[in-house]
Amino acid sequence: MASAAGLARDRLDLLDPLEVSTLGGLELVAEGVVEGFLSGLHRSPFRGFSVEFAEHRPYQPGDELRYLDWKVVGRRDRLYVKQFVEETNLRATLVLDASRSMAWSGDPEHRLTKFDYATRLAAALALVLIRQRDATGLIAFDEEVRSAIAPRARPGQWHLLARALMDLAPGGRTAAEEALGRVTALLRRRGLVVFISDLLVDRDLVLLALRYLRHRGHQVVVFHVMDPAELDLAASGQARFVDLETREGVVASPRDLRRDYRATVDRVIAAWRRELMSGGIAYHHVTTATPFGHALRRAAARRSRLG
Amino acid sequence: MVFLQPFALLLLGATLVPPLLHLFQRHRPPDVEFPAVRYLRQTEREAQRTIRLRHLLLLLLRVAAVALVALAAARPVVPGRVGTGHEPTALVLILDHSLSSGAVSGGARVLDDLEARAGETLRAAAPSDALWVIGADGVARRGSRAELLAAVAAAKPEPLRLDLSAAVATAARLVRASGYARGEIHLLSDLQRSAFGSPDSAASGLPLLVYHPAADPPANRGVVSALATPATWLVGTGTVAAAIGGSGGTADARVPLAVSLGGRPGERTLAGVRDVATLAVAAPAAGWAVGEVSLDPDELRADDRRPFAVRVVTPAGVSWDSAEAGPFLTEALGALVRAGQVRLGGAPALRLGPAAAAAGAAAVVLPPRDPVQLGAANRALALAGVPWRFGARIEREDTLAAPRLPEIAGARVLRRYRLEPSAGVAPRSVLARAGGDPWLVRAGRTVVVASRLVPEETTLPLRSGFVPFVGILVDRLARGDEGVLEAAPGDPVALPDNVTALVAGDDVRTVAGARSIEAPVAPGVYFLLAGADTAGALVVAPDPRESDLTRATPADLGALFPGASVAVTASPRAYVAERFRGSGRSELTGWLLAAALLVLAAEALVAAGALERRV
Repeated sequence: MASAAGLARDRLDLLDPLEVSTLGGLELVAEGVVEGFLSGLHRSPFRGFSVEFAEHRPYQPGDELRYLDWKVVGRRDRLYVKQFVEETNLRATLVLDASRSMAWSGDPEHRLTKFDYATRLAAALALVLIRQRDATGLIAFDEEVRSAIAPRARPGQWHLLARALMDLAPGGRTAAEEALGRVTALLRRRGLVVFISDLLVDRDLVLLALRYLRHRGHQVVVFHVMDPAELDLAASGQARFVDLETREGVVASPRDLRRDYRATVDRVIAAWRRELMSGGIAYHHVTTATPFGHALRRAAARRSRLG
Repeated sequence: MVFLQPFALLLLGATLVPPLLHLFQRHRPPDVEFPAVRYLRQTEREAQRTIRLRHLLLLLLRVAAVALVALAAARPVVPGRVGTGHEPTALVLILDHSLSSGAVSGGARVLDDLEARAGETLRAAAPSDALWVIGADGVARRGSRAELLAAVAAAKPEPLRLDLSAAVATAARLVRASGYARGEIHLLSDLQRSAFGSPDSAASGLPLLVYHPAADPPANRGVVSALATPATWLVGTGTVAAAIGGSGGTADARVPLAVSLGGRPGERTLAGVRDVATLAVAAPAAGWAVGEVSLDPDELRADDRRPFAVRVVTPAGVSWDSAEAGPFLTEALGALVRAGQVRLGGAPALRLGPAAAAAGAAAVVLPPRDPVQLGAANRALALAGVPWRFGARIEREDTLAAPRLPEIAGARVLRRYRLEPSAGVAPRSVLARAGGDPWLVRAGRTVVVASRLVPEETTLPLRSGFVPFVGILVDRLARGDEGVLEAAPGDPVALPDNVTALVAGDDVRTVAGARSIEAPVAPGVYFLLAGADTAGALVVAPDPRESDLTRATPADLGALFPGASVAVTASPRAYVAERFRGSGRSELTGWLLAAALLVLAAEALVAAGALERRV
């Protein structure tokens, strides 16, 4: 049990997101999360396979044994793994929702806002990708594209991305379709698109845009970020609930609606999952209470399966 | 429908509170920022009908709950019997746990059956009822249901006689004074006919529900009297006159009867109902002795034994002046001497005559033959500390009244002296009266007679009881003996003036200053102490009427309580059906409160969303 406790201390990826965030700035947190995340894997994350051999590289802990080249091992008595063209040229773009609705926490003292959670998750994903020498970029949007960094695999790219994430602040209303269109324009070659949002968007337009990306041959992963209070309508007493972006209000009594509301949210999540999965798009629902490591692990496992 | 508390109907105005609160809650609520308003709006649009329906249901349930509570507070009463509810009732339970309730009838003790019925009725009583229980002592006790249940459970057959007529009259007074519109009297008893007095209309107009055990009363025999004859025995052998009472069985059946004195068995014989048997038993030593006359056990054990007390003495040594005493007294003393009841001279000395009074000595003082000697006789009385003196001579024919001396009662007195007391003389020191004046008085060990015992002054010497009277005079009265008193448990007893305490074993009950007491409840012999001396005995034994278990019939009861609505039953089921009938109306308060609770429970379920339609 003592070792388990020690593991929990070392593995920042498994800690409560708010607790992790108090340890330092975004870069430090992301590095800590990724270190813990990688140390818990048996093979490299976000690594598919391809029939197009590219080169050998020395074996690293975590690489899958099936990619070991046994002939080279026999000749040189050293471990080498095979790498493929697709992997070495992966271009990943993180598309981050920075709209006003993301700047909300149902329990500010105990949970990150959705935006803070999303930026840290994006930073950790970027670090994982860049450590794999994948070209990684960032697009942040609200009602317009707020920040755009083209995918690069060069040294210093991650710090560039991290600074951009730190400089971001939640803005106005959401217009994800424009940001996704920008991604389409930026990614001429097939690549990976990670879309992080609370999905309080125009559903049909966003679905169309994501499917279009998929149609263009991109692998698309969607992180649907929600606060637990949005899932269960934790507020008590009758109130006028005001939309953060439109300022429109609804008078409701949570006691009367809680069960129906939960059913509605479950249906919305199920609909997103169904629609995205049917289009070959990976969908991950996370809350701001989900440890970053869990979110990363789900995305990695899903991407491996999609190939 | 009528309301016992109609003013409480004003509470119905409170039914406006839930709708007002409902409207009040429609005021603009506070703003709360929430990102997923679109989901909330979608939910509300889909569940709007359910929510409105639930709000309406909640409103109706809350109004109904308030209305039910208001109606319950008004205590509505409706015709007919609704469930177990009943109109608030003043109920008096008469639980007859007198001595006869200890009889075993039909294989079960009578009292167990009566207690079960009383317990059921008390448990069926509502908090709004006024409850009393009258026990064997005739005292009405009011209390809560729990208190009276405990009292009923603790009841046991008491050696008391409960006058059921008086108990019903007491119950009727309580019901009428209770202020309740409805009242019931329940008489739970073995219904001994002897326990009822004369017809009494006190319960007229009231329901009188009578329950008795179904089994017929058992045949019973009891010792109803045990008296030492004579009242004072000489050392040697004495006799006891014992009377047998009871009911049922074969009238001429004879049962074994035995006597014992101080644990020493005496004569045995057979006797039947109304027989008076004389039983001999040895009295080996002088002093007070306690004995018992007993029957073989039967279905009622409490009357199978009866105690008695007797004083055993040695013959008194008597001296008298024949000339002053006259021929009849001299002859009577001679007969007593010959019978061994009296001896001549020697100690203890007892003198008879006009100047017999002496301090500390036993004496029977008679008026002098020569009126000239009256002054000397009065001086002797004064010197001896006797608070009586001879006064004026009265020549008038009067009849003797002597409640405690049947041997002389009814004799005629032709001439006498007025016996004049000094201040502070207690009435009980007068043993017999003639024409209302004291004729035979006692002060300590001195007895003063107002007439000479000669035919010229009284017819007493010519009566058959003269010799026994002289024997009592010598052996008992002049010894300061108060004799034996008899009383039933709890009966009033007039004590002799000089008695200071009652003693039973180690239990000493001081009675100084009280000339009338209630006899102890426990049967037995209680010695009367006069200072350090034993002056007499009080024999406490059950009332002889308790041995007669003959049951009163419904017709008897109807005649005993004219005007009352008498219902007699021996069936527990019928008893349950009859009780709390009142006017056939029932109070709905309990039902309304129960309905209010159900409505509130439903409200809680609806409010918690348990009845919500799943979307």
